[in-house]
Amino acid sequence: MNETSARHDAAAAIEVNHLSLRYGAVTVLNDVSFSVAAGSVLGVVGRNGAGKSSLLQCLLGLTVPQGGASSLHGCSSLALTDAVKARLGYVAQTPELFDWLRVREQIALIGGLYPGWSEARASALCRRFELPDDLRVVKLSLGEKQRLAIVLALAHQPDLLVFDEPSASLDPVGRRDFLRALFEQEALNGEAVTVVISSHLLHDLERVVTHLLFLDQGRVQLIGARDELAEQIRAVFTDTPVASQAGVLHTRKLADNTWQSVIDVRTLPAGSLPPNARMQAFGLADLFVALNS
Amino acid sequence: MFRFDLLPSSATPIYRQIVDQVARAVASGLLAADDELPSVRAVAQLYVVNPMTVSKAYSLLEVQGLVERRRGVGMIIRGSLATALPERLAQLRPALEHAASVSRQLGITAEASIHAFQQILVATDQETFHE
Repeated sequence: MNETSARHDAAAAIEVNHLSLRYGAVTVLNDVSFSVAAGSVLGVVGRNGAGKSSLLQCLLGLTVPQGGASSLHGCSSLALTDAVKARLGYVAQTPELFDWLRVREQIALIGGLYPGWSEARASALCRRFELPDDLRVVKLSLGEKQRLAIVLALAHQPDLLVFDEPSASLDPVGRRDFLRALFEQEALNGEAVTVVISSHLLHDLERVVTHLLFLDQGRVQLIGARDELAEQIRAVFTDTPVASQAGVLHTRKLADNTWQSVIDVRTLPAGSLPPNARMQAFGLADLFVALNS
Repeated sequence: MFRFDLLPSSATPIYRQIVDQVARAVASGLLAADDELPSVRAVAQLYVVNPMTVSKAYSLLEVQGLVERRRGVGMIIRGSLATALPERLAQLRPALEHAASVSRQLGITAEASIHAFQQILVATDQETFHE
């Protein structure tokens, strides 16, 4: 009940206000606003082209939006200070590495940029992710490159991690190792670690996230604490479509000419559903499909 | 050590699954007074779930008075008496009601459903025994 206010009381690690991004006539982000409390793990989900990567790039100041603003630890994304950058770890969808370096040289190069670099932590992560440290980057498989990018993002012990599809090329064992490494992550500055992670692998996400953000065509479709969404968002099956109103997030016609609506039981006015409506709880994958069909 | 049976993809939130499973184990006597729950870290690493989720479940169990946090040890079961059978049956009822509605939807007779349930009880009992 006081969850919302409690979240506002905790220091926001990320603030996003009315972010808009267009490429020519194409709207990529449309008035996106939300905040992420320090210590949260936010999963960003949506179909291909929903704007997930663009949103993450705006947060990091790698893409300049046409409207709105975002900040990390109170520092504008477009003017991140060295101090805030040192607290950041980022894994891009396509790892940006130097092909001609050996794995250990790549690690030493990036390590040299961070004051709080821990050689021991980097070695431990390399062992955990089974990275052959003498091989040149160009010889690594896509999965190995992704593991190396994860090691580089974690080893300086940042307290704000941004992952864009981090585990897409990892096998199931590698993905579990990645999730476990996330849980063990301790920030150098002792602050709670905040994570933003976009992924299509909903079965992985549902193990780690505390909050979920559903993006649809650049808009925030739904955002909330994962447990609250699980307990408050329901599928409703009816013979006729439910009137569009507060609390009705999405309605679609099913193959048998009945209707499925996604409703928020917190905001749906009492008596809005026909008496024979059937209600059902959602797993994350089913909710994703229902919202995007 | 107590073992959970967690299904992250289930519509029931993970923290709720942890709370329910401990409550059931206490009711059945599987967990007795002074038994220790696995640490938050151990559960998070073993089942690959967010430690904050485990922590939330343990705090809720503490509020409900089922467990207490003991310094240097961890989470300890408080209750000493297994819950009486009628109350345990009441806890079982929602699961049975769900099974009854599914079996009706599938057009399975009461007799065949009960027979299937008996077989499952025997099979899972053997699994537990051989573990």
